[in-house]
Amino acid sequence: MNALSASLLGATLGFASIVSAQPRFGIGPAPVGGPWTAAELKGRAATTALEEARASFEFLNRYASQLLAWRLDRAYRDNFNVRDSEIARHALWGPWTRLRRDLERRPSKLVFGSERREPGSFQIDGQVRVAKTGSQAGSPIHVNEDLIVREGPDGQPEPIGWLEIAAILVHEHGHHLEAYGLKPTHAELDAHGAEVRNFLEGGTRVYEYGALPPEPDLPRAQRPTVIVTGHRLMAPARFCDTRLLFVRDAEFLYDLSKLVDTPSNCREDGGFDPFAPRHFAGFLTTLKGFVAAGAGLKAEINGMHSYSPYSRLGLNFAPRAGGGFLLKDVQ
Amino acid sequence: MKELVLFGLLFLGPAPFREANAAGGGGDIVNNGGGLAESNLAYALGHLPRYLERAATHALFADAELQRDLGAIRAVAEAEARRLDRVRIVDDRALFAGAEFLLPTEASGFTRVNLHALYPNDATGATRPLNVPQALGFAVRLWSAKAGLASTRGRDLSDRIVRYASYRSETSAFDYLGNCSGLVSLLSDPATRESLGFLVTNDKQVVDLLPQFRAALRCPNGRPAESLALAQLRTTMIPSSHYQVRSSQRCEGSWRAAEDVFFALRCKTDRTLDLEQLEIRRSAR
Ligand SMILES: [Zn+2]
Repeated sequence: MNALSASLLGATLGFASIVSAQPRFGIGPAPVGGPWTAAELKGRAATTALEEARASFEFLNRYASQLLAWRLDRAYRDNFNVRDSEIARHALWGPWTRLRRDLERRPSKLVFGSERREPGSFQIDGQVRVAKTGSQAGSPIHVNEDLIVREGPDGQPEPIGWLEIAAILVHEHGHHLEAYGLKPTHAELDAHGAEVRNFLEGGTRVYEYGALPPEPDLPRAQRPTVIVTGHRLMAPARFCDTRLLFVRDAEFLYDLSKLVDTPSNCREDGGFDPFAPRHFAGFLTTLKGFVAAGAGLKAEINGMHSYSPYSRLGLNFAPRAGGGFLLKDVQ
Repeated sequence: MKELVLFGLLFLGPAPFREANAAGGGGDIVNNGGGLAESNLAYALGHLPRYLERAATHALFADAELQRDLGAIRAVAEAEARRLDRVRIVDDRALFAGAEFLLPTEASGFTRVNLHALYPNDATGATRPLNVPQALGFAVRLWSAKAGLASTRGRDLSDRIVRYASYRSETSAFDYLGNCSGLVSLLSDPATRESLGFLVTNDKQVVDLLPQFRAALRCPNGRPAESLALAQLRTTMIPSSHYQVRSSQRCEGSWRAAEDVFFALRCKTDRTLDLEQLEIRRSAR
């Protein structure tokens, strides 16, 4: 089978899967339930920078398929109203789409290691790498703990950035395309990573609680932080709503994405499906930041949907004995 | 990491190509390693034009000579962001003889980046991959050399960009029911928490509104504040045309208790965000 027919076959399979994925549509409920206590929300320990970096990798890896989909969005946008180019687009997306489907069934396992503890374990061509992996969908991704924490501006260790982690995961998963006959170079995968990062950046709001002078500043590790990623295509009627909501307090990192899971042309499995019926216009990207609420703090995330009323998620933080704040509940 | 939210969609061309690819292997052999600094450089080269555009409004670059240099680098950075496949990251210490990069000697040649310059050693001898601000600084040194600036000038600009990119930031989207859109970003010094810029952008322009905040938020003695610390930027309603921010002023050497300040932005009839009309209101009078 030559390369062209292989890619067309991939395209056909990709298309079939999209059609059968049964995207949700119809008028959905507002995304708010609760209230939930912090214990019910099951945060991951993130007291140290390394714990936080690991938890960020684990959380983002849950959405690896979605990260790869975002890489595709630019191609989609470029062909926005050109129906005739759909076949070409499928041909282009075939291997990526298949990889995404594999990931939805079986996410890649993350294995944390350390070049320092095991010299040579992350050396490739004499270079120490931040991550490495094999060439199959589902190959474990090994992450070098030495490089996912660095010295922050205050001299304290801090995890590498959220968007940097996303780019690394895109890069490493890109190597799994080899299973489908694509073999992107490291440089090409850095470019894909940069593209996804650019894309995420455009729809991401990172809110960190900033105490004002004369109040003393909190060390970074204790500043409550809310990360919301929403993302919108150019035309107002075609939205993929906010899908990721991470919250950090002085001890834990929480993945609250499920709580802002709104009906849209985002697929139920978390993947973005540009071919789903686009009956929804809505967004959920407005964050009211931190407001003092009694002795604690409150942050508010607001959403608006075409068919459901304005909805709101309130995050309540209480002061912690050792400094900083802890998420108390979400309502 | 500071995450400056960039508005708009950037063209991202092919990535810098790494000449020495890892030897291939199939199956479950683990051999595909990613590099953090290469990833950050790919991002920095693609995003530098936007950073330079924003930085141009900032006091760090207020000087006329710096503005000229910034303009020269920006022209190169914009052209180069469309042809990133002409940048190659090369692992060959002898070739570079300590240089960070080598510019092409002819128009069709490759710009070669010294891989080891992306992984400098710190005082303890440990390798430190460039973070995003540092990668932006690297990109400034690279394109300032290409623009023909003296290396001292390139290094000065590079240091300023690194500082600029290391600021703490808060951003909020402006979106008036899809009628017009923009982005509000508040930049503060990571150490002192003083505000360094209050940038508002529509698709066409960036303006720094900090001077207007300074003018509106005077000290009780009627004089402008010695410095201003703004934080906790938030919208007060949807659509998000109205904002609230906490503000603290330093008057006569000491910081005053923070207060709430409101401001509003408007859409113009051509459906762009009006960057000239700004209404600022203190909560208590
Ligand atoms: Zn790689």
